[in-house]
Amino acid sequence: MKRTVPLIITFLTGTFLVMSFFVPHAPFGELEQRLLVWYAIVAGFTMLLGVDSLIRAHARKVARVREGWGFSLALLAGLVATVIVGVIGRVQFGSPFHIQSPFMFIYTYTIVPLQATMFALLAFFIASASYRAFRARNWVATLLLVSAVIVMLGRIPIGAAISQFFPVAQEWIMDVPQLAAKRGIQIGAALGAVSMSLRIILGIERSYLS
Amino acid sequence: MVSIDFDATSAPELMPMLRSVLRQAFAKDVKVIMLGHIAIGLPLGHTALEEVAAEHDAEYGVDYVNLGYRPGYIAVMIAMGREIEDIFRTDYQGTPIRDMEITRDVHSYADIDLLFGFEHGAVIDYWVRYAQARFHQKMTFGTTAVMAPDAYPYLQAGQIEGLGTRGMPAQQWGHLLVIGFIVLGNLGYYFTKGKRKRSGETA
Amino acid sequence: MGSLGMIIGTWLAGFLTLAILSFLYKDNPFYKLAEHLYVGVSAGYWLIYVAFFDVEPMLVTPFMEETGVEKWILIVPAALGIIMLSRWFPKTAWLSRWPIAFTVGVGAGLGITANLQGYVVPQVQATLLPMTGFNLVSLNNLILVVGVVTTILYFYFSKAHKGVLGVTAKIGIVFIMVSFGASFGYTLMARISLLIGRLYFILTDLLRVID
Repeated sequence: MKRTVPLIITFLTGTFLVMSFFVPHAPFGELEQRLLVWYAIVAGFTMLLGVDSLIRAHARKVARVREGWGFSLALLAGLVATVIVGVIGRVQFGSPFHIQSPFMFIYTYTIVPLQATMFALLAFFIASASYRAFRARNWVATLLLVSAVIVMLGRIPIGAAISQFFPVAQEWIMDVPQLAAKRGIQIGAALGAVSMSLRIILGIERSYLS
Repeated sequence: MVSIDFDATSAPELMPMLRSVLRQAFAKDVKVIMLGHIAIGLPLGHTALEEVAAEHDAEYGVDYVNLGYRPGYIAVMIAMGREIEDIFRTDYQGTPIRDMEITRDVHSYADIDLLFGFEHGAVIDYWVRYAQARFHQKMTFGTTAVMAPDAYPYLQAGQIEGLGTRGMPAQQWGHLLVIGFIVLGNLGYYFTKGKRKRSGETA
Repeated sequence: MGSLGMIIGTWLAGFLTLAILSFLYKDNPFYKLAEHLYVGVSAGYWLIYVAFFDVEPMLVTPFMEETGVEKWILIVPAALGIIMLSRWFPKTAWLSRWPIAFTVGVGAGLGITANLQGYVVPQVQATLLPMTGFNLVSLNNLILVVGVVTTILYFYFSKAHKGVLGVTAKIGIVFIMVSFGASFGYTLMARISLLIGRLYFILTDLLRVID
């Protein structure tokens, strides 16, 4: 029950979807469509996994007044407030993200700046990392560095002002060598994904059951 | 059809692109159907859509619509190749898509002239591999600079029609980008012009 | 939203932006507060999304509107979804393997055909380019073919990189490094652009130094 049933479910859905790809007409096509819609529905629920442990952990911290409980309280307050304004938006405007919904206020003035700034921090880290790590230690690293510099200079007006070489070289790098490598890597990855999918369907790969 | 596949982390790069593409569309009376696969970014797309639509006096449900978001993007993309209503029975506000002029007769990719995706992650790969390959939907993408190198092979192989990036490091060059996108928008428009006339102006 | 709301919102956004940026100096309570708020608000956001972009339009509305088989069959995905949540409780967690097995099976089944039809076949086709004599186009086409083949061979680890494979792997690494360099260049430009975006927000919307 605990292992066999899931393996059978995976095998059946997997093989069926490969089959219905080649035989898209009735009844395969209709059944495939139904499975796809179900998949979309179930996929939504996976987003809820983790929310419970988040709430539990921080609620415990607040209840026991542990160190940093104030931050946990802020976290929970943010969560509850967002849910409340979301529901208000749904009831009042038909959707939480109607342009006048209070949910959009929270979105625009908290989620957007928080997410964007967190990510902007990376600018500093990547700059300092590149300063430290990307030194022309050997010919391979030099190649990487030269390529990066040419590409950057080729894409900003200053580069073209220095020499017409940069935009031309930039284009060539993007269209020929870098494209070739990206394609090689991606073909390898795609074939890897295919073999992994086969292993999953056939029940050889079972790590998702843990 | 416009797909919002980015969030606030890429907004400085992709929002100007999105706005200029939407402006192009409304100026040329191309219908816009919006949806998105990155839930946490979709409201950004919605804000831009409402903003640009207001500039052009476009009417919701007639000139543009926002379908919203559904989980499970692979399944959503493939199911839309057969019947969009199976996935998006209603728009983001719960209005049935069959009750709106713009989507009344839209059933699958066959009724969509061009998909314009704004991408900051792997969703572009899913669009190409799951929807373009299987249903031959014409696609053009605006990507972040990070994603652009990865997308070049698609362009060279003719799997996608166009690719745009911002890649310019400062706000003062924003206007250059707009010019670039106007050119790109026009190219996209040019390539789909014949088809659009036949199928009644839907993009 | 009224203009007062916008002013409050802008100041809130400004405070949060600065609170996060303050991490550059060192970890501090303002950063911690902003970080916790971010996690909480995001979690709330997901709950709202699942409710109003999944459960309501894909389960509740069709259940109200449909009749007969189409109505009752919705119990299957609803049950799968609810069983997924059995993970919340250690005793019943094993049950969640059923819906997970379903999603994994669908993903694997779709992935096989999509990766072959959508990537391997068209990309290999696009690599088989003509050589039309001694000119620049032919040269570039040749470089492209060599690049793709040697890159794939570089990642072939089943045999030691010696002899012929050693040579191709050496050529492969050249292409890979140029490619990583290009990606790195693009990424760096994007990150800088993002940072400028946030500084621009502080200077224009918040402080109105620049207009």
